[in-house]
Amino acid sequence: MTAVPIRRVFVANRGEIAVRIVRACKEMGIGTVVGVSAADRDSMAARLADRALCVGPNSAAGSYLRGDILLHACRASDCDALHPGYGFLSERAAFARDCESAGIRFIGPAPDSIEVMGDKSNARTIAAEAGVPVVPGCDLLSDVAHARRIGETIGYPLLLKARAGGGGRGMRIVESAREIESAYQQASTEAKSAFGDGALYAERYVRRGRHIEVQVLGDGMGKVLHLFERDCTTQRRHQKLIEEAPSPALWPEVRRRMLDAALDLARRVSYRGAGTVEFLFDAETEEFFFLEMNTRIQVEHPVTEMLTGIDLVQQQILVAASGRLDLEQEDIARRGHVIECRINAEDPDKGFLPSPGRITTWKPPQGENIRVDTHCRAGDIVVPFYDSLLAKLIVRGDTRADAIDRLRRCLDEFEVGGIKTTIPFHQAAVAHPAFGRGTITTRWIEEFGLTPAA
Amino acid sequence: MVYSKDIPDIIRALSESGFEDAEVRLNDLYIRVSSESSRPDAESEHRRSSPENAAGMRRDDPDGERRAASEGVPSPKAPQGGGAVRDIKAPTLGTFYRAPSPGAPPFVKVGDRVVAGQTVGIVEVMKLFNTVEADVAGVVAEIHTEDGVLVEYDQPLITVRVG
Repeated sequence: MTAVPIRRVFVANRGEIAVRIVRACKEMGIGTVVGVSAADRDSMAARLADRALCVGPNSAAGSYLRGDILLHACRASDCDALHPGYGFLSERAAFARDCESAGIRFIGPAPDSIEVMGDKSNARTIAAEAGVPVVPGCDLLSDVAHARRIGETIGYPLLLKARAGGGGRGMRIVESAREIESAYQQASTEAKSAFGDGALYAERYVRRGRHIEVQVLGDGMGKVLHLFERDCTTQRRHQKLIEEAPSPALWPEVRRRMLDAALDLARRVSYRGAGTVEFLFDAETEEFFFLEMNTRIQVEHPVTEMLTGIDLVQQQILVAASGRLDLEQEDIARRGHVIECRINAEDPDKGFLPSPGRITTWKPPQGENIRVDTHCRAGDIVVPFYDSLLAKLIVRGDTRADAIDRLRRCLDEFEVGGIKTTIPFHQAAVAHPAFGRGTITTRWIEEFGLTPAA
Repeated sequence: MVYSKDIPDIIRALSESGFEDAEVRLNDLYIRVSSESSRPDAESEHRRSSPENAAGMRRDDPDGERRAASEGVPSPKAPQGGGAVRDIKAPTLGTFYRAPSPGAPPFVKVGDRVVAGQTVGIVEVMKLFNTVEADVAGVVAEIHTEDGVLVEYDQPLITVRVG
């Protein structure tokens, strides 16, 4: 790829990530145009960008998901690159291809990488080929006897999952060979009635699982770097709420192997730009297994930025512009411990029910080693059309204990009026002894029914 | 001059207008009528003031004396020589064309009479051509946009004097 500078970036996203991208461009002397829905005409991103264009009505389907309209706006406003942010069109290979055929640089990986990693079974195959451990299991079970044989091969507990599954239906945890027959029948019947398809998969069930992911950067020509891991174990129904780095669960030797595995996978696909390789870490056996690769900037990228001092969004833009990565692995070092809390417009007292409305008070915490990524201002209305992320509060400490202390101070200081937020949940979570010990699992919130302190 | 006895009549007129949300400012007088079904974001939607959105603002009421809220609903304006006027707005972001092909006469000119459903322009998005239709019968009072320029979603393109 020839190095042609990027003059103006079209931001095809909204909320805090649109603000984040505009800021990164401004610091690089690159112009910005942001495509906004009718509801976002007055958003912070619209104000900060050089220009805002209203691309459609409030609904995401009519605005942020309309690749044709966004691309038209991008070309008509004389942009030479497009940043998709996360969500929306960021992982649609066809959209990335449309950008490239229109002569617009897509700030992200090659469309083929998006496509290959977007298909779970394809990604699993490539991971296995690259020598990256995948969850032991099988493709499809033919019958109970097959399930029994799989149990003998990979051991118990075993997880039975519906091929057409979702929401836990058609799913059974099998503790021993004695339970396999009834579990198989129940899961299959449930899957058949829920999805019209009784076919089941079987895989190793990880009882004490943690979600740990590795940030990678590539130049698209085989050079790949890691920026260490992020531990995103604090989740509620697979929605990440707290992320931190380094992971409190990894020993140096296991970390080394995990980072290497992520690099092996990224190298295998000659990955370009910023990506994340997600692993399931078994805290009982200290094994880790490839889950998926996210081919975009992640919500929690500031954790890594604060840990390493490297601006990931600017790196994405530099790689897109030059086809080169000027960083070297030995330039990338960790400093202290970083924790991020996602502040959402949700009511933790009411099962995290979305809480749209007008923000009457907005006073984020301040001080050294504190970062708040947000698009919110006092007086703004949180509209019900999009996701509920209001802000990411990221703090750094010399040690994990220091970071937790700082985080507790910041959460106490963070004042939001007019709407409910997840701040009370975070206050309870980070004060909990299990969080302090770093021994939680991905099912912690559900199992402990963690509710905010009165 | 408006007297306090006129206020009930103004409120009644606004309430019967069928708009979800409407406001009137006359010197020190401010009346706002809002139906219960108004969306929670309706208020924010008519407080746009950033320069890049100037095209979405009313052109003929620099003092904000009359302003209709809620998108998609045709807006009544201060009458210019009698009769209500309505804006025909862009159905999508795209390139606005006043004529069916380069060099062809425009679909409409100022002073032309239009009927509801008549094509008055085209907005092109990535080679897909969306027709812009008049939603009322009337006379073209103003054309706000030149041929071949980028228009935003919901941007007023043509003003029609109803009747």
